[in-house]
Amino acid sequence: MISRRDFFKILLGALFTPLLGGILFTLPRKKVVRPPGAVKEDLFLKICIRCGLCIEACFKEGRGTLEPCGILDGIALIGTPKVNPLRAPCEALYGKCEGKLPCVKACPTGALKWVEPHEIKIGSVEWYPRRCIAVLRGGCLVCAEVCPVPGAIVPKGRIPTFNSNKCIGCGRCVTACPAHPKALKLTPKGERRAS
Amino acid sequence: MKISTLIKINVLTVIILIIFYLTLNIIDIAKGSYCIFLLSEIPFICPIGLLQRPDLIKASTYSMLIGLAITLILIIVLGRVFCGWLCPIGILIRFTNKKARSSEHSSILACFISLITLFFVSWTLGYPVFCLICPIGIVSRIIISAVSGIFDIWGIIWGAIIFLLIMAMFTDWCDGICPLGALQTLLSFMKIVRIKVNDNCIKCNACMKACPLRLKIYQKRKTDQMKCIVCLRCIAICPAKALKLTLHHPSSSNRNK
Repeated sequence: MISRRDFFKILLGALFTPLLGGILFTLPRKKVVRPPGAVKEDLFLKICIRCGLCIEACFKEGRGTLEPCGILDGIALIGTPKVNPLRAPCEALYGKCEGKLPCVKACPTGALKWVEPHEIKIGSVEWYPRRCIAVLRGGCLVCAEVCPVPGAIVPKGRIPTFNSNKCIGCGRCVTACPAHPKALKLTPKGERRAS
Repeated sequence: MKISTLIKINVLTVIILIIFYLTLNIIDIAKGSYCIFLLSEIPFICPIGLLQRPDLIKASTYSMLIGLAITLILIIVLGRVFCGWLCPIGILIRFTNKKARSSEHSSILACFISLITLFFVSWTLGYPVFCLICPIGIVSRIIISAVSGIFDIWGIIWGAIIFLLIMAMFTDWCDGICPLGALQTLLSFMKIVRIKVNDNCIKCNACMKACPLRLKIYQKRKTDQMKCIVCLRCIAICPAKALKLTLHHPSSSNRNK
């Protein structure tokens, strides 16, 4: 027979992993920019097996913009892929990966689904005028120069204006922004998820 | 063979597996690591990872099921060989924790409770809860990040936190608390690779002291055989040469002998 002490020891051990994991899932989490073709965030967290194959494919066949989420993004997101424009821009549209989407092809679980090029919109950029060189000193329009989407960044006079409806969130402008700290930030605002 | 040699071989097998994953990923023959391993389009998904995700099971393809079936058959035939020889966390735990809890009651109850609660919590919440704290998954992602030219510093920090937590709370992580170990224990009820005791046994308990899980193989209990990780240390230390690794025929009548 099992003594009561042993039984509670066994019970504590057995309940430890599921309960700790369950508690960690309820902790606050950030909104990160997902790779193109990601299903809705809720379903994404349920299906993504956090294997990192999309990150590997992005490095090998794409530009290498994807990286795994860390603790700072929220513990519930650990290991899931996010787009980091500080590494490289996402070239799912107008660039290296157009019509190929290696991250989507690499996904073994269907958390990333094939999307037609014109439907890709992984987020949009946010502009911080107080850091922007064009506002502070003038002469810089790098973001407008590198932007591949017609009408997303339009220079008005000597200052860029941002149209978040047209922006697809590729992050080229964030990568190129010479200000320090960057005057542009990629956010998942306005993202279009695969159904 | 000495125990120290066995430990060295164990370290070597883990390192070889990790190098194997790294090179296969770099030269693009196969992809993936511990979490999922893609071998010519057949994905071998971690069974715990798959079973925690009802939405993934609904959407699973035939190749995924073939991979799962092969994995389960391997576990049923070989038992917990993965735990004994390929798990990167098991080897770390056995290094840092020399005094494992002596499990007087080698019960598989813990495995049942652990798995049932895990699946209950993850199916009701809808989220794969163990994957957040899975130390093997963290190692797997560090490998994949290294292949992708990323030094996964947050993965390493999180891995260290989880590992210290495990070490502080449990001396018997491998003994039914780790869901992967629990699943493999429950599946190895009819495993073929077994350690058998013959009449030379002098009941000196040396095998129990050498066993990382403190199993009493000489008592010929089935639960001990199921929990055995086939690390072979008991065979190496037995002074009477009473233990032997044998292939157990599933239909043989004299079980556990």
